[in-house]
Amino acid sequence: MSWSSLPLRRRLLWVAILGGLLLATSLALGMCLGSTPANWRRNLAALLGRSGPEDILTTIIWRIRGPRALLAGLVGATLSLGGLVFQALLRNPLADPYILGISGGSAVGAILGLLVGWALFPGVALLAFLGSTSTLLLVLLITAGASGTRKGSLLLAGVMVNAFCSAVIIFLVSITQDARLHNMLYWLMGDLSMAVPEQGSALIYLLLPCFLVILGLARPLNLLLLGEETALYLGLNVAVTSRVLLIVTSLMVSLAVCQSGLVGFVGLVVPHMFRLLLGPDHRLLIPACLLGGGSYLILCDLVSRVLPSQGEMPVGVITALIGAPLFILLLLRSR
Amino acid sequence: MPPAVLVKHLRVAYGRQPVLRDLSLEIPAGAFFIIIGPNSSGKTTLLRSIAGAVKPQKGQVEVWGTTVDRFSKRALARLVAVVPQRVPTDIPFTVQEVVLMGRSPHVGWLGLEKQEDLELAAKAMAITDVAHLAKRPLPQLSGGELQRVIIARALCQQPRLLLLDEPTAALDPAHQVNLMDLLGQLQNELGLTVVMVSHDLNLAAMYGEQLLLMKEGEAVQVGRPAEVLTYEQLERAYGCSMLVDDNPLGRVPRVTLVPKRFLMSPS
Repeated sequence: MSWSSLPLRRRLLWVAILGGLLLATSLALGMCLGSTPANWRRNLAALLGRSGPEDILTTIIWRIRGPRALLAGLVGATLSLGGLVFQALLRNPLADPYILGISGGSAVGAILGLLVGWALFPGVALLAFLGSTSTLLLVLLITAGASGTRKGSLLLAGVMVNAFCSAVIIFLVSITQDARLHNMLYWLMGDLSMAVPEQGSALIYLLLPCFLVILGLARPLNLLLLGEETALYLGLNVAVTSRVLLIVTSLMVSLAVCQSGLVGFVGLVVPHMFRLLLGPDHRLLIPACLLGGGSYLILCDLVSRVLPSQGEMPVGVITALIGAPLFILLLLRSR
Repeated sequence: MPPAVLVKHLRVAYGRQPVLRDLSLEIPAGAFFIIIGPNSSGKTTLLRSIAGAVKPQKGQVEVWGTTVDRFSKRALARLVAVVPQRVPTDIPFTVQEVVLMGRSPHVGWLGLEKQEDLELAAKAMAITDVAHLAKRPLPQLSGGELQRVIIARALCQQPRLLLLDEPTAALDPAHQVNLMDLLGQLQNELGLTVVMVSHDLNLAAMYGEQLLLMKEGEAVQVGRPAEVLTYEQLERAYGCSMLVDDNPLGRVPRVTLVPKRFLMSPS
């Protein structure tokens, strides 16, 4: 019996079970592996809170690795979902979650913050968020008048704003010559090393409503794939739905990005990967992207911490190094 | 009972270019109504106005006595289904998934179908003879199959009014006749009101109970095929001469296109 002939509810159940298992495993691995080695028995004890609060391993797992894995999971889920929504909304397979000027705006904000010498959280994160929301607003204002070619002008406006911001970024980077340069480059490639416990738990409450809104719009997203006119004939208020999706998704991505820097490739490769595996139905793709995208970034972050013998590398390097070949492999197999 | 469609002094323009100018029209419930006319005479725009996809500049469109823009999109889609001229076929949804999308105006937004919805989809697919394709992805279908799938989706909406934009344009003669027979059957058995745009004057003559002949956004004539398909009116609308005689199959006119070499100048 093939996958597509299973009833939807059955397929949804499989996605939830396998995705949940994957996420739980990734979280456990992300919390237990690192530069402080310990055998699985001690890890398990610390993970379950049996080894007492004074144990150094408990502190590492729950105060350092745990928050970081949580942040990675949230950012990965958000970026994957963001890519999925924009690819459907703009009907463009190359759309990524940053496409409406979010990467440029947040990067300018973050780099200004780093130049001033603020801490990554909350100072730089706040500036990055302000940066991305103001570029988003700008893009929406530019395209407010256009009606018929809205998708095209949204894309173009986003690309132009991003391009302009890149120039500003390079300008700022090139006049910086001290240690701050290192931080800037890491931020631009995506960096989860500064995760603090308060960050992830605050982020959950902000992101969860966004996830739920998008999950509730899974069927309308399917309809939008058939074109706006057909979606309208099938009873969808296209203008309102697109606007809600656009704003919720952009806000959600801005929230994630301002804490993690520009982790690339996740939002592009994860949705396409699941599309090849599961088909085009968003009622399956949304939960799959949330669980799978979260797991993917947790694992990539783990590799970026463990692989270099000293220090660590930006997680964006790993997401692309693993993601691109994996995606090409799937693409070849699906032919 | 109010008419299925009532168009009052409708004026629609894209930018400054008027497409429909002061068009008035009444389509009785349960009719088989066919709109004909040359390219860019406003046929598709009229269909889109009835479906609530364009805002009129003046006048209004009523569906069963209620103005179209007073309906929510969802409520309108439960009453009116549209089979558009072109549908994107690059998304690998299966036939069953596409037909089930016709349930959208009925199911909740979270969008999981119930057993009842699955049964309605199966019935719609059986009616249009695509049940054997249920698990086939859309990009693998032929033009005729695709057209029948989209009609199944429209039926799955359980509409009272079915709008079709040139549904026979991409079909071979056998499929054309099958499709038109199917529409006639739906009209008879389910009491559907069928409104379609067609370029095929002979199909329109044979199947349409009433025809609307349009030119430049205005009605040239509305009425039974014999009242509309006359030499003078066709020449006025299309700007070319056509031969009109009786169809050997019955009491409807037959239209024959006349190549230029048969048109002798008086000299």
